[in-house]
Amino acid sequence: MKTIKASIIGFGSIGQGVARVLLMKKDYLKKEGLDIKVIAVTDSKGAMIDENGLDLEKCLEIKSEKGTIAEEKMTGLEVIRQIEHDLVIEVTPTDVITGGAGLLNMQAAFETKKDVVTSNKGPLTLKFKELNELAEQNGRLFRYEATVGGAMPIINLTKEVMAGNEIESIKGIFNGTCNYILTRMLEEKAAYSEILTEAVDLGIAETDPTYDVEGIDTAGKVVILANAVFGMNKTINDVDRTGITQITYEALEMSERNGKTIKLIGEVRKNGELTVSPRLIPIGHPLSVSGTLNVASVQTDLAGEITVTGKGAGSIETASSILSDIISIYKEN
Amino acid sequence: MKVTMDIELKDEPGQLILALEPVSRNNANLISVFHYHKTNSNTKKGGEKLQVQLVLDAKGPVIEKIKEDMEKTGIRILRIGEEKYGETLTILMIGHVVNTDIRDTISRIDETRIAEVISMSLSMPEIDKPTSAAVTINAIGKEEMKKTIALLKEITKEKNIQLILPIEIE
Repeated sequence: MKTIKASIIGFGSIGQGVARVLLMKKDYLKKEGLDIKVIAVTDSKGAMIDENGLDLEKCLEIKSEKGTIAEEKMTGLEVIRQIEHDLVIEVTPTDVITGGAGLLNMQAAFETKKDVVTSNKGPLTLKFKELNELAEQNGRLFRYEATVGGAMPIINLTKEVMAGNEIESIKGIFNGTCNYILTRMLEEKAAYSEILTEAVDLGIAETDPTYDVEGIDTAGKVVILANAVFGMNKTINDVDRTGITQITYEALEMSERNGKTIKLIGEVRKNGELTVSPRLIPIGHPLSVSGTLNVASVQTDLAGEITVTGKGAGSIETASSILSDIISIYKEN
Repeated sequence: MKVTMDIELKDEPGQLILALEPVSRNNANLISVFHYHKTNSNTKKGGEKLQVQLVLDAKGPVIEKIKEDMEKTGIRILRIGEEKYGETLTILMIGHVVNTDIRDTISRIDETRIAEVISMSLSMPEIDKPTSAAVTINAIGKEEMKKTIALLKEITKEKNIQLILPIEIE
């Protein structure tokens, strides 16, 4: 049995999802020869630490009762730097402008010889090459499947499962909020602003939805795919980006009359072109998925077109990608 | 081969069926039927005649036979020619499509002589609200369609109109 000492840095929706998934899959992990011992959990107010392993069920209870797990005044960065462990599960809120705490956490993790698994896009859209180089210099592993498309396996699919194929392009729907809004506008014959209000009420869109509806979130994912799958060195400023705020119900209706639907599509091409824009998709086409679903279509030289779809958000779904990254690191090492 | 056949019918019930009968009898593939509303010097004036364009896919001798059969029933054949356009695409535009000189948008595409706007439908919900337009364009071939899309991108950028392209367009 291999024991892996891990920290969960960030205990919001995704962090708690990771704790739940680790509890749910404890027996499975044992069968795989892995004992994931979480020795620290941190949130914005502090940390809970037990070097012999925390009771995750208790952590979840305390978080739910008190709103924080803070028992000690330690930040995530301090936990990473000061407490000996093997793996940092970095799930703090994303910041695509500065990289936020996530960037510092990841850098500190590699510098102190820890592996990193993350769902945090911000640092990867800004410093992808630097972070990978830092991991390599320190002989550590860096996995980030959960940063693109939640549960939808796209990075590992293209980098590992489809190894040997040359990837021509990847295009898809990488933002569930936009997909929900466009789907509901047509269903309800309603204007963009009305459905946006509904999406905010349902918690599908943030109170400030700019990040989603202007295509910034999709652009971040496109950058990660460009760098991770195509080996490019792009940032969010390299993306030609248009969001969905100008889409009218009438345009959706017109496209439906022509047998098509409008979706916000992110696309990476082998020639280095990165775009995010609303596109016309034939109804019934593999990319015409509805609601909050995500989908990606990979064009390859040998296998032709491969399409994967899955839930792009949700704590358990995202945690499932984090879990598969953890298993892939420690099963092969 | 794909050919267009411009014919003149009496503007009476049953005339179109009469015209299409030789097409099916000679096993030609009928691709489209288009009613012309343009005035044409070949068409007799008076309003009792109707000009129709058929696009057929058939071999030369079959086209000849269809022509003969049609003429026997009194249908006037105005023109037979090879189809000029091989590519058709429908795109969407959202914004002040009309107020930014819609005629200019159409003419700039038509003037390329490699493509033309063949239909446009508009939806204008309220004054001051953006107009949505579905525009169908014919182009000679794939390369010409690409050039037309590039031109369209230029025009819509200049006029601050959002252009929505089909997924198959690069």
